[in-house]
Amino acid sequence: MTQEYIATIGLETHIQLNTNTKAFCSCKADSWGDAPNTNICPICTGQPGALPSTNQAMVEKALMLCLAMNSDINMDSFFDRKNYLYADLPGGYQVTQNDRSIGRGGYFDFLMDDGREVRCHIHNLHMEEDAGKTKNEGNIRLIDMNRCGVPLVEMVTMPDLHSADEAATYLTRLRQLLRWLGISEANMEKAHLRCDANVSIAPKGSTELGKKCEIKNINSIEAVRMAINYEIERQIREINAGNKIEQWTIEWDNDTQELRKMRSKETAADYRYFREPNLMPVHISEEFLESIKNKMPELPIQRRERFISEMGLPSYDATVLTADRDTSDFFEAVCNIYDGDNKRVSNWMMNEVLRITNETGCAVSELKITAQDLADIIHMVDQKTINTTTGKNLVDMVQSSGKRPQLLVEEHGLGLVSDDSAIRAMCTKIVSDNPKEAASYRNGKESLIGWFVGQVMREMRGKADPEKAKAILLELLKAD
Amino acid sequence: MESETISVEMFNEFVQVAELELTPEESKSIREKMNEQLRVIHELESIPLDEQLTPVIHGNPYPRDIQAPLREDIWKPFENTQGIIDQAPRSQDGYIVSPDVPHQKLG
Amino acid sequence: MTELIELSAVEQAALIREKKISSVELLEATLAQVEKVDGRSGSLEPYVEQPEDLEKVHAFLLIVRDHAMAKAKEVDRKIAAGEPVGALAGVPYSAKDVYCTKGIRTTAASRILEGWKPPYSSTVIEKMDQADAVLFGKVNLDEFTFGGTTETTAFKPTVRNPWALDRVPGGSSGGSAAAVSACEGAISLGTDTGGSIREPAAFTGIVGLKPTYGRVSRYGVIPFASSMDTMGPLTRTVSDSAFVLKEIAGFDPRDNTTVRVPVDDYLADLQKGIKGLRIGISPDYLKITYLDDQGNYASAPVDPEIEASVWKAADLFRDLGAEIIEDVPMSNTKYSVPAYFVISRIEAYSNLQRFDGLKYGHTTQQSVKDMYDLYYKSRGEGFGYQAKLRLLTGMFASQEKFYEKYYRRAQRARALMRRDFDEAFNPQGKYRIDAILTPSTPSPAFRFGDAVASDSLLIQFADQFTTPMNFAGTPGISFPCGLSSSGLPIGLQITGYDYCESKILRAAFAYEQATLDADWRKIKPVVLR
Repeated sequence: MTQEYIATIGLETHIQLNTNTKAFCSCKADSWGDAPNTNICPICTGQPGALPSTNQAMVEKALMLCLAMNSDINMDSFFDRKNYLYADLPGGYQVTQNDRSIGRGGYFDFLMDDGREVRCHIHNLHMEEDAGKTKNEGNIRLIDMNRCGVPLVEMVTMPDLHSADEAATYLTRLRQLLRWLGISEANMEKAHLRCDANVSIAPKGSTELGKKCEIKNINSIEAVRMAINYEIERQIREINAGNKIEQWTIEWDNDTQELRKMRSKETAADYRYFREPNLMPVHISEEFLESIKNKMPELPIQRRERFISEMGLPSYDATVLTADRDTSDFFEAVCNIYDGDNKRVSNWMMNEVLRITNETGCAVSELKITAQDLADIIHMVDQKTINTTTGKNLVDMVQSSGKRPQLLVEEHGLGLVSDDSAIRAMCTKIVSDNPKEAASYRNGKESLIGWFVGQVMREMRGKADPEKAKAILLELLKAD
Repeated sequence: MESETISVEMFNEFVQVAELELTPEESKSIREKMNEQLRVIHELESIPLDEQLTPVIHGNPYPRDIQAPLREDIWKPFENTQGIIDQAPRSQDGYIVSPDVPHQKLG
Repeated sequence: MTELIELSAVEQAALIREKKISSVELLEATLAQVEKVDGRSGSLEPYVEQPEDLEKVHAFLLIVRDHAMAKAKEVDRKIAAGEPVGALAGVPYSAKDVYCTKGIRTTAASRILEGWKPPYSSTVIEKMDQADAVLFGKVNLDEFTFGGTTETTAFKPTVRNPWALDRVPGGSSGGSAAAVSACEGAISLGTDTGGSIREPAAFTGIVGLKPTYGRVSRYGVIPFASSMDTMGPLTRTVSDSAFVLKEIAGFDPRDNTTVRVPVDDYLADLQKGIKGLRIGISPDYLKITYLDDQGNYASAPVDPEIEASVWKAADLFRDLGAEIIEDVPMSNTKYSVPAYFVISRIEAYSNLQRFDGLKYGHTTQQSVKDMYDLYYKSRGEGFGYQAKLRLLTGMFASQEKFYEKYYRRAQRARALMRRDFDEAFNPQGKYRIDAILTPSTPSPAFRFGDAVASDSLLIQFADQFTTPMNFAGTPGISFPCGLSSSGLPIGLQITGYDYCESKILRAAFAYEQATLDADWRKIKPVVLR
C-alpha cells in the first residue's frame, strides 16, 4: 500500500496597493501600458544621493488590511533595508519592514466552495517597495524600472493551508476582500497580487513537518493550483525514490508553466537587514487609527452572515450577493427601498441584474439601472401594474435607455389593463371566435383555459391582468 | 573574549557575495586590515550598557512635533526621465540592458 | 583695496548689489586665481607626477566656466534691471564632488561614477541657485568621502595644502578647504560624516561648519553613512559661514530626516555677542583615548601647542564675557569610536550596493559571462581600496548573526554617548553649558603618506574630536586660532546643542573679531605669498 502524504502550505502574498503614487517617491504607482522607464525618478531608480519619503496613502491602506485581518497594529513601525544585488533592484537594497512591521498576528477566515470554513493565521503584514521588471531577450536582460518603488503589502501566513485548493481559494477570497476594501485592484494578470508558496509534505499522521521548498513568483490563481500540485507531486516522487527533500528556492515560470530551481546566488540567505536611516518611524496616532477604523466597511464574510441571519437569505444567495461590494451594496439598497420580502429582491438581483452584468462585463455600479429603479419595477409587478415578463423586459429597457421605469411603462403603454369591460369584451370575442376550443373545454378539457388566457393576453399585447382574464373566461365558458 | 579572525575562505566568500573582484595584493591587504579592525569592533563588547538603554538610529532625538509628516499621495512626474536612461552604459528601446542570468531547470 | 578674491562672500555680495563690481568681473577674477594656483585637475588617467604638480593646489576636478558665466550674466542683468536677487547674488562658489549637479559631471572622486551626469540637482545646490550664488566648479575629495586626507581620491594629482604643499589639506572635504584657503572662491560646500568639514578647515586655516543632523537637507548628496552625514560650508570668515547656512538650512520634504525647526537669522545673530554664554571644557577632549595592546583604555596627550591654544582661547572667551566651565565630563565619548565604526561601515556598505555597472558610471569593458560577472568586474575596477575595505568591513559587521552583538549594541552605545551631551547641555543640570571648546584635531596637518604609514596616535586618531558630534547629531564649527611653530594652521572647535548653530557661530565670531589684528592673521598661505 502506498504511503499517504499531507501537504502543509504557507503563503507570502504580495499585494500591490492602488495608491496614486509610489511608496517612497511621487511617481505614478500604476504604469500599466506606459513605455518602459518613463514613470521613474531619481528616487525609485536608485540615483546616488536620492532619498525616500513615505507615502501616507500606503500607510492608510496597509492599516485597513491589518484591521481586516484582525492583526495587532504597531503604532510605531520601522523600515529596514534588505540588502541584495539584482538587476531589478536599482538601490541595491529593498526598503521593507523586517524588525517591526505595521501588523503582526491575526487571521483570515474564508469559505471553501463546499461551505467549509478555513481559518488561516497571519504571521505578519509589512509595507515594502516593489522591484522593477526584467525580461529576457536572447542572451540579454531588459530592465524596466517603472514598477520600482510601487507600494506593496506583504502578508505572510502561518502554515495553515493543506492543499492547492485551499491555497487557491485563500487567494480568491483575499482578492475579493482587497477589492471590497478598495485598497488594491487585485488584478492577478497585472501582477497586483503575487504569491510565494512554502510547500512541505509529511506522511499522514506524522506530527513533524517536512523540509519546505519555496516557490516564487506565482502570479495567477490557476498557477497557484498548478505550481503547488506539481511541487507536492515532485516531493512525493523524491521521497518515494528514496531521496531527501532539500530546502530549495524554486521559480514558477508562467510562460512555460514549469518549476525551475533558482541559482544559489539569487537565494543567498543573508540580507543583512538594518534600519533604513533615511526614514522616520511610521507613527500611527490614535486619531489616525480612529479615522481609518471609521472608513472600514463591513467585511464580506460578516455581511454574508448577516444576509443569512437577519435578512433571511439562503446561503447560496448570500454568497452570490456578497461576491463583491458593489453588488452587495446595490442589493441592500434595493431591499431598503422595496421594504418587503428580501428573497424576492434576491431573485430579481440574481436573475436579472447579475444576468446583465455577466452579459455586459460591467460592474453593478456601472449599470444605468439604479436600486430605486429595480425596487420600483418589483413594486409594479407586485401591484399588478405590469406582469412579471414585462417587469423583466423593463429591467433591460431601463438599462439600455437610462430612462425611469414608470416613464417607460407610460411611453410604451406597458401597464396592465384592469378595466373589466375591456377584458370582458376581448374574452367574449375570443370565446366566440374559437367555438371548437370552447366546445372541447366544456367537454372536460379544462387545461385549455391557459390557451384562452394566452390568446387574450396576445390580443391585448400583454397588458391585461391575466388573473382577471382567467376569472372572466372561466365564467364565460361555464355560462353556455 | 577570543576574537574570531576572518579566514581566507570566509573572506573569499564575502568577496563573492559583495561582487567585488580584487587583485591578489588587495585581497591580502584588505583581509589583514579587516582583521586589525576586528579589534575595534570587539571593543563594543566591553562597553558597559544597561539594559534599559534604547538603541537609537540617529544621535539627536526626533520629537513628533518637529518630525517630517508623511508624504501626501499626489503625483508629481519627474521631468527628466530621459536623463536617467541616458546615463546607462547599455540601453535598448528605452530599456536598460544587462547580461542574462542563467537558470537551472528542475527535472 | 584688497583683491576681490580675498574678500569675504559678505563683502563680495555687497559690492555686487551696490553695482561696484559685476558678477562677471568677480567670476573672472576667481577663475584667474584658479588658473594661477590650482594646476591641473585630478583625473582618472594613470598619474605621472610632474615637477610643477608639487607647486599647485589641485583642488578642482572640474571648472564649469560656461555654466557659471551664464549665471553671473543673469545676475548682472537682474541687478541692472532692478529685479530682486538672492542674498548670495553673484558670489562664486564650489562644491565637493558629492553634490549632485544636474547635467554636470559628478564623481564622488571614484572611478565607479566615471562619466556620470546626474539627472537632478541636490536640494542644497538648488537653494544656492535660488540665492543666486554662482557655481563655478566641483572639487576633489577622498573617494566617497572615505578618508581624512583626500589621498584616497581616484582622481590624481590629489589636493595639496596651500599652507605647506608637502602636506595634506585634510579630508574628506580637502578640495573645498584648499580652494577656499587659496582664495579660489570664498565659499565651498562640503560634507561631514566624522569631521570631514572641520578637520580640513583646521588644517588649512579656515572656518568649517558642521550643522546639526537634519538642519540641512541631504537630498541629492552622495552618502557615506546616512545617519551621520551633514552638509555645510567652508569659508574664510565666520560671517560667511552664517551667511551660507541661512540660505541652505531648513526643512526639505525630500529629506525625511530634516526637521520643522525655524531657521535662525544667523548673520544678524552674530552681533548679539557672547556675554553670559557658558562654554565648557572637557578633559576628555584634551587627550587621545585608545585601546592599548592589552585591550585596556589608555590615553595620550594632544600636541602641546594645540592644548595651549585651547586654554588661550578660553582666557579670551572669559575676557569677552563668557563663563568658562572646566572639567565637563564627556567620558562616554571613547565608546563612540567602535560604535561609530560599526554603524558607519554598515551604512556605507549598503550605500555602495547601488553601484553595479548597469545604470550609470563605470562598466567593465572585459567580456562577461552573466550579470553577476558584470557586477564583479565593474565593481572590482570601479571602487578604490578604501571603498572596497569599507564595503567588506560593513558586510562583515552587518551579518544577521551579528545583528544583536554589533549593530544593536552600537546603537545602544550611541544612546549612551549621546547622554553625555544631554547632561552637559541640560539647562537644569549641573553644567548648563551652551557650548564646548575643543581642539578640532589632535595635531596640525601631516605629510602625504603619513595617514597610512605613520603609527602616530595623533594621526591615527585625527578624527577623535570630531566624530562624536556626527554620532550625537550635534553641530560643531572649526575656526582658525593661530599657527604652530612650524607655521601650520591650528583649528579650534566649538560644539553646541541641537539646532544651536546660532550660538556656536556667535562664539566663533566673537573670537574672530577679537583676534582680527593678531599677527598670525597677517600671514598668508604659501600659494598666496
